Amino acid sequence: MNKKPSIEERLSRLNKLSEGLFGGAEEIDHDEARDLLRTAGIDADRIADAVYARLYKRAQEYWMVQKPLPPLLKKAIEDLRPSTASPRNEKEMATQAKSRIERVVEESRHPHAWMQSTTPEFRPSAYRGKKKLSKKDESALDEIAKRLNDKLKGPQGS
Amino acid sequence: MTVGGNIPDFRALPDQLAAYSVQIFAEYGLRDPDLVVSGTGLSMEDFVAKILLDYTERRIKYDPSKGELIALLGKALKRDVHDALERKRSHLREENRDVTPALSGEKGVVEKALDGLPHPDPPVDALFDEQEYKDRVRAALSAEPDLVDLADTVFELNIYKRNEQAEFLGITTQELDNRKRKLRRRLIEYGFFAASRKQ
Repeated sequence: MNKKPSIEERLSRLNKLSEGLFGGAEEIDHDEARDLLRTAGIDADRIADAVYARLYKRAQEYWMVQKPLPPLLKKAIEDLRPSTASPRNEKEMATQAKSRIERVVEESRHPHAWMQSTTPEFRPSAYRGKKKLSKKDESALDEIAKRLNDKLKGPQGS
Repeated sequence: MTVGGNIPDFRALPDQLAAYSVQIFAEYGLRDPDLVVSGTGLSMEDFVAKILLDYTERRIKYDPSKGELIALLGKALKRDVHDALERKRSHLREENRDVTPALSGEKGVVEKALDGLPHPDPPVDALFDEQEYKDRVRAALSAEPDLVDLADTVFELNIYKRNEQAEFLGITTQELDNRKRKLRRRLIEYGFFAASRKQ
């Protein structure tokens, strides 16, 4: 009688199939990674920001007890500093401006993915060919207009 | 990718690890829209952040002579997802002890997450079943015969090495890499569109 394989044996077998077919993480380069995340409707910047927040929180624990940061943690925090954080010098300001422009260009290349990642009510195509707007449509459009206005006012105010 | 000796450039790592974990989630048919392993509360972000913390605090030690850093981190991440799936399985086993046997044997009974809400993942034992795994992957690729052929070189013929796969399929290794890229994309498209269809 065949013995039923253990969970470890089954996982090891599945892992072998997975590595053989899809390959390991090293086969996914940065461009492909961004593309796969977009395909899954995931905002890569949100992930990077969340990861940065976790690493930063850990770094704070070192600072609290006045211990030096492990060099790799220090480097990770520097590298992953979000583009939305206030720039600390001119070089950072230039880097942030560059990445913001790259993001806008990237979004314009993939309008479908961008539309999917926006909030449901902000879908201009939903209004295409619509002759009469309902009360709900009107209030959604008012809300969007208000948000855009706030966004435009934002950088001047800060 | 490393810069200045053994200090890596961290900028690409979260994207690569996140994309890899999305692939793993799709392989296992995990369809939680928030990318959480239901029953464990662990999200894709948790897995990625933990791996990077383990590496930056030297709990994961990297030896450049043994390959790329991302390969090592990817393996560690997959191990963590597997551990989470095992924990999920044992939690559900515990829970099922309290369920009336007549009910648990009935067809159409929806597996419950630990929070008591139905979740869209496959039944927990199906997660580790080889045939179910193959069926899930084949379903994702069914519209593309060249990708099904590639899957069959692994699933049916047990050919795991890249150059042997290319030779068997009569293509260059570069073309094989292109097919694998397409394969990963199809798997994720299928996994996530299937998830949105189910909602």
